[in-house]
Amino acid sequence: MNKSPLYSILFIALLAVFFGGAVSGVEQYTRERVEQGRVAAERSRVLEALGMEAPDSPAELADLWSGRISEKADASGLYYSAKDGAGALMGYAFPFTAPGFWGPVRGVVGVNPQGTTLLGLSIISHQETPGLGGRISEKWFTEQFRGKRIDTSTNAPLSFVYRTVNAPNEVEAVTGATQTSSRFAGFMNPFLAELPKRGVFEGGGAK
Amino acid sequence: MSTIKALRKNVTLSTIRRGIWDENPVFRQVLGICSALAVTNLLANTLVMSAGLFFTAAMSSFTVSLLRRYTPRDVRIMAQVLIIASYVICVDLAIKAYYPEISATLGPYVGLIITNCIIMGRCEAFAYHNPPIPALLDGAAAGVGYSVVLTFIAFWRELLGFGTLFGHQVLGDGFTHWTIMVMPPGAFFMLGITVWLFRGLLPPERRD
Repeated sequence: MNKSPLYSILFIALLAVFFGGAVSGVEQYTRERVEQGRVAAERSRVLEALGMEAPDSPAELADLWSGRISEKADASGLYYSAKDGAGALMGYAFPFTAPGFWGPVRGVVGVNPQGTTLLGLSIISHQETPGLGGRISEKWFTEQFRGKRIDTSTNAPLSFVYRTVNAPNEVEAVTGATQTSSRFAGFMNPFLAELPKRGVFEGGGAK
Repeated sequence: MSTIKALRKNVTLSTIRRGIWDENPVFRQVLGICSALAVTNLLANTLVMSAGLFFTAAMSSFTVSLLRRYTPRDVRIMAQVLIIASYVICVDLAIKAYYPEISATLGPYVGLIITNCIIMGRCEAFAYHNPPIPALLDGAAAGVGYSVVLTFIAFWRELLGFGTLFGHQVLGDGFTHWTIMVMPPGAFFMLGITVWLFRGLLPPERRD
């Protein structure tokens, strides 16, 4: 098929307009659902960090969220305040953005009302290598943070080790992902050490 | 009249057979290996990925074939990539909207269907020279061929690696999980075994 160059340009331009339009249409159509899914996933991570079970059904999740969690902000940024089933304050959740090897690692830490103990930690999003640094979002890693004491007498409340843990302040880092682990640890320790100084704890913290 | 019909049926069957078995994209042509290794540790992920590839392969071939008389030779690859990419983005958006959990675990692999040689190969080798309906069948058959092999690999990887199928416990607690099966090396072992096994089933004169 011998056609002039002008025809080729016109053909590709028309094709691009048509398919570009179609993709935009699908994007418009799914945008709301994608956004809802993103919000739901983020809320589930916040609940996990607080040690609460995140329900699978979107309606139950929305109910639990509106009944138990309130979004607040202080000078350092947004945080969540959580009530237990009986309406008593059970803790706070603080979002964070830590540096990773390939991009930012977004997550949440849950802290008890006194700011002395970690209720949990969860990862919302990351761009680390799947199977290596990407394992920071796996349960075996994040579950280790539950119940860890935030000791503010030191600027490194947690110790990240590349072996089996044998002290209460130790967390097993991801082996094979030294860059991800050391950047994450380098961010997490000062972040945790500063947490009890935030307004909500009124200068409290583990002394 | 009936001979033409029979001939058509014959051609249709051989197109399907070619995509699934004789020229299976994975174990005969060794295409699409990257995703075959990456998404086969859980059956659920594999099925979503396979459905995505099936849809994209069939629709891209169909569309490329529809436009074949109007597509200038010198820009045909550009046009094919544009068509494939559009379908893949639609699939990716649909998975994000309706299966956000699976979308998160599949990560970039759905988007990478764009560069999957199977689809491009079928468009270029078949769809660009054949009418739309045979092209649709040819693309779909290649998609099924890919899916069958991936499902086979995923079945063994999930069963031995987690002791589950589609997330349901099948092997008892006494079973020691072969963790290596769900890690990247397990994918290589299973793929190698699968290619060996399926090729071994071919008559000797058809093996390379």
